[in-house]
Amino acid sequence: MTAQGRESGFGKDLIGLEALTGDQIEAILDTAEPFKEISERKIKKVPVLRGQTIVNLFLEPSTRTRISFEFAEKRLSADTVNISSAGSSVQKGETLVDTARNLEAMRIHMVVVRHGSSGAAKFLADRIPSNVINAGDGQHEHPTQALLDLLTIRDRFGAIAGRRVCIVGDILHSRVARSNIWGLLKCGADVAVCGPRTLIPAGIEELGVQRLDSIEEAIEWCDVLYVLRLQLERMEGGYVPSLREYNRVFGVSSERLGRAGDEMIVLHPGPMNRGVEIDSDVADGPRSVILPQVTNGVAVRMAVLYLLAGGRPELAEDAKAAAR
Amino acid sequence: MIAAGARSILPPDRGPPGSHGCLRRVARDGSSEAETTLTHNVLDEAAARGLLAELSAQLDRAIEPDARLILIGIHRRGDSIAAEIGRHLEPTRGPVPIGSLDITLYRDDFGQVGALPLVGTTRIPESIEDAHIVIVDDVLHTGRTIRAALRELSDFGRARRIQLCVLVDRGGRQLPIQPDYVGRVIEVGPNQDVAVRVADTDGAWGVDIVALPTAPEAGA
Repeated sequence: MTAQGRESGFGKDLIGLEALTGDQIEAILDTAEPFKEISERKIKKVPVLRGQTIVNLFLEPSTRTRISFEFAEKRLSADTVNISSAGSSVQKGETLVDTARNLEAMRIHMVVVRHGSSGAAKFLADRIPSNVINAGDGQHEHPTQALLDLLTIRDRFGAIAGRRVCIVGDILHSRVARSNIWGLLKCGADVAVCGPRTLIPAGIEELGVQRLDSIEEAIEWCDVLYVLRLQLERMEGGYVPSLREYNRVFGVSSERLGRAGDEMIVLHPGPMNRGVEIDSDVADGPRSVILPQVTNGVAVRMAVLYLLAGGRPELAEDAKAAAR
Repeated sequence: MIAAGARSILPPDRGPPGSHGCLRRVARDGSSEAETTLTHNVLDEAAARGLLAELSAQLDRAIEPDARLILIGIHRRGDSIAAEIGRHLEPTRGPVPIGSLDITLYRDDFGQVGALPLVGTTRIPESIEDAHIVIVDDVLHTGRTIRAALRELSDFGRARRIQLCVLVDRGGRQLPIQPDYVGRVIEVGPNQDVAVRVADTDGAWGVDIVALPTAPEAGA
């Protein structure tokens, strides 16, 4: 079932990067480029989404992503409402689809959804006519995170194609890793993963992703080291013996970076566990682009909101000719 | 798509002596007969360059020598014209800061047209606070682009004065907006458009009247 609703050239929703082509991904990044400048203005607001109502439905804890979306929405002049599970009717046992239908009844335009279950964003998108943007669903995808990572890589190297990117850490449970793998492969990067065997999905090579066994090997090989957050509950799950052990084997330290190429950069999606997956002198060091990632997050989300609300880059030339 | 009889909607030649005034069939991308557009040249390269020099001289005479002048071109062809005017002003006024405004996010027809253009980048070279701004565009038509530009500029600060300079005023205003400096007034019908060609994008300077397949949407 597909809900009838507003559609841009990208479809009604952004659920994941798996469904997009490399060209579509690059088009989103191209659109994000001019949005960077708006956040540098004295008055950080453009009127393009005036009158659009956007609900940020965050049913799982999030600070960075929610605030980044909220800034993006406000800088485009949309009206926003934030809903979290605590203190809402979700806590009283209302189902996701009932919550969404009630929101629809209040005449909204878009829903940005974060949910603990894989597939929740798609489930919602199929049932309501509003645009749905996935802000992270379980272990499935987190497309806007990967888009901001791709933009950061492109900013530094000029292009994504041909770059070697190694993702380090808990690949198995990570929606950030999944979205990045799809995005990087579609944009033509060479992708590798590195981490404890228990946290690397079986058969990942079939996607065209290499496995690197040691962090030293990864650092020597890559242009971009993407360090994932080690979720502390993984230790309780028995995937990792201890945080100290993880840091000793896979932690990214400045000594280990001594073997890296001159241009190599380090990304991290946040929030960081300093001293576990990444040491402070790396996180705050010259190779780190962790804060530029956060800045790019707002621009990329502005681009996604703009495109889903009606912008169609593939028709740009026609529109320009018709509208002068 | 134009019927064979479309020739008759073109006005008599209004170009200056020396302009071609001839009808040409111009193929857009593909050269199939169905895709052709009728184009009528009004100003050739030399005449367009002359007009730019004249327009620059108008600005130079009217704007006090000690004003903090900033030229802001409207993306894309306004940019090229602003740069050219800047070059003309340099001998008398020194280098003039030049900015570029992309008004896509300030348009008043978001969601009404089926498609929206790619967003371009706005560059404002220095603070516009207390500056004398001249907005530069290729063709003034409905005035909606200029309204959007004024809204956008106000988000960058409070200029002392904002003026408007256009290479061609084609009439058809839908808002109370008038230019301060005009290169040429070319009145055309609803089924026609004025197309300015600029050297850096189109290879050469020039002004054409183009017959449109249908009446244009309320745009600029």
